Amino acid sequence: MTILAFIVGLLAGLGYALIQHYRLQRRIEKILELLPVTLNESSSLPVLSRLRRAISLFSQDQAAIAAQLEECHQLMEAAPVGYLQVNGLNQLLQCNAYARQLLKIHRWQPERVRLLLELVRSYELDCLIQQTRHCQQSQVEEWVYQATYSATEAGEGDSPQPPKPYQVHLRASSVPLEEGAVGIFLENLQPLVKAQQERDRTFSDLAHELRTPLTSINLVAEALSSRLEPPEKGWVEQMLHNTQRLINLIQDCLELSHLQHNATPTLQTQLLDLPSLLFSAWETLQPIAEQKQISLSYHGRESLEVRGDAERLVRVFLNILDNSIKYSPPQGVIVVQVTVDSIPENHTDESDSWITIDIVDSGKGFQDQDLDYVFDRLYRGDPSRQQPTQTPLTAKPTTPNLQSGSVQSGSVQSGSVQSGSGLGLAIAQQIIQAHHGTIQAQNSPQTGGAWIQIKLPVFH
Amino acid sequence: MTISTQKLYAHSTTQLERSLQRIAQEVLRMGTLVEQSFRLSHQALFAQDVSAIEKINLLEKQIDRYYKQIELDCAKIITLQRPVAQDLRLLSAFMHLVRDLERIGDYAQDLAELSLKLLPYPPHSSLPAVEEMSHNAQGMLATSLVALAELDAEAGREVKKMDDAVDDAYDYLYQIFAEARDIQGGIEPILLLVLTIRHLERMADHATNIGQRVAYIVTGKRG
Repeated sequence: MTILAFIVGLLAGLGYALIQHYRLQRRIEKILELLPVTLNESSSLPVLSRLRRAISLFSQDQAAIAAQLEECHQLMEAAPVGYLQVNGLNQLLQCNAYARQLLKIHRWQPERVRLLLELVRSYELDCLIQQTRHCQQSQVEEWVYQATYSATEAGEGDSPQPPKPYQVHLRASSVPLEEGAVGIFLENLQPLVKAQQERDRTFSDLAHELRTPLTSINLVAEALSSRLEPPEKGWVEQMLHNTQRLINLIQDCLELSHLQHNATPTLQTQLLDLPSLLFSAWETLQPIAEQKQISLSYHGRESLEVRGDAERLVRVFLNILDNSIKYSPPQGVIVVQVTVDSIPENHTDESDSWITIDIVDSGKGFQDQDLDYVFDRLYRGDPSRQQPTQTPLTAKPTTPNLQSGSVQSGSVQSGSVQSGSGLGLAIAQQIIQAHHGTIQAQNSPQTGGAWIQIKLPVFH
Repeated sequence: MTISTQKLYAHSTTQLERSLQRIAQEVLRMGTLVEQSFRLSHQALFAQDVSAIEKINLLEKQIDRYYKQIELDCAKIITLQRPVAQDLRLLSAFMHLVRDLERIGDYAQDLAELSLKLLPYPPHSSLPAVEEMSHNAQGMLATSLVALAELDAEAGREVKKMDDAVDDAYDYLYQIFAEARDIQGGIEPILLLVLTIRHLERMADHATNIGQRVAYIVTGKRG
């Protein structure tokens, strides 16, 4: 009896143990199923060995990933552009060496989470981050980052040095990341800005140096031409014509660099009547226009007061209209439209309004790829239309030099008889900017002609 | 310890801590605006940069908005969330500190207006000294803002020492302007310069105040 009871008990115990064993196995298999398929190849091995194998594979994988991450961090740290990353709470999580150097972040410790604003007091950067987070779109921003060192940041020296201001031209491009985090790449534009300034200076220095000898060549040529007989006289006259063109170019260069450096203060502003400025520019160009039988069609007010520098504004219209004439076909029409924004006719307070001047010619318009560059100095769109090569010396001067006083640039359209200096539109842009206005080039959607739009603020 | 991270670890934050962090960020943001404004007024004064004036006026409006908003938010948190000890000191210091910041912003705007009036006159021989004074005052503002970010009581006291240099410069320059003789073409430039150094001196004082408020947040003692 006891033996029977023992056997029943034993069987019950064994059965229970077996059930437990199966359960455990099922559980482990469930756990194995959680693992990615690559680590969980089904095999006939006991389930515990498979678990052990999976775990060791898993930790290997993790080590590899960690190494990769470390490598990425190292790369990021050594990158020649700055990189910052903030989380959704604007805390700075990552910041590479270049960014630290660029933004002069001295107090950053990777293990301490800090607000970006505590380390970089830049409102522009902060705005860029907020905006990126808000729109979830990459943004690019350029600005001059300025900072004042505090006494504690200025460094090790005991004597309190007077704080030195620091500034650098930056371009930041932001990338929206998960959960409100934002990554920012920083580029140092300072060398670029410096190169640009140097270019401008060289440009104007060169122009200065060239002016004096050119003027004396011109004078000598003038003296010669009165004493010579044909055919020598013709050659010298052609020389004169070409030196005159060079002198005009130099004059334009000087004007341009002068405008660039101290434009606004040197303007001699007064109240002017805009339409009469336009017409006086057109009168100057009348001879060339008549040659091609081109007419001007003006739409807008009879008179419109604007505050500006008369001579310079006439220059702008001259340059633009001259281009328009050059690129319009014979018998073409140049349409000039002047509109004033958002004020009733009899309203006297025009302080916040803008005058828009649209000048549209009837030519073929700018080529699309040139639109961005037409205001660049010496830019010419189509290489095949560049300054025509000099006619051989023996040729007689052909057309009388009607255009000697005029300048053009943006010779991006076709049919240029006589090319300009390539500075006209650049000068026009500088003058308009000095008047706090804007100038844009596009093609007219209706006629396809070149369309220059000038916006000027009305000051009273 | 810093103003944002004294107890803050990304996950275990209470509502109060989150509010405090948000306000701290707003205060710092206002600080950057004021600093920028000061910098622009410096440009207007010493580099004759007229365009800076327009920018300052825009900044000033923003600064005013931050000032009012922060004050309201602080009051709201104090009444609704009952902060104690350092948190309460932080909030009450913020309320005073934004006032100081706002005043510095106002003076920057005034300086810009003075610069416009100074424009027609030839530069005075003491202008470099005034410029250095302005640099020093800006350094003080920067130092006090860093002290605030770091909650560094020591740096807060450091600002007080820097203030002495500005005060000395003020006395020195005042003497020079007061003793000016043989003035040709009116005394306006002298008057404007005296106002300028007065403003700079006031700005430096407000920066000192900010530094001392930081010390108060940390130690609980008003020095």
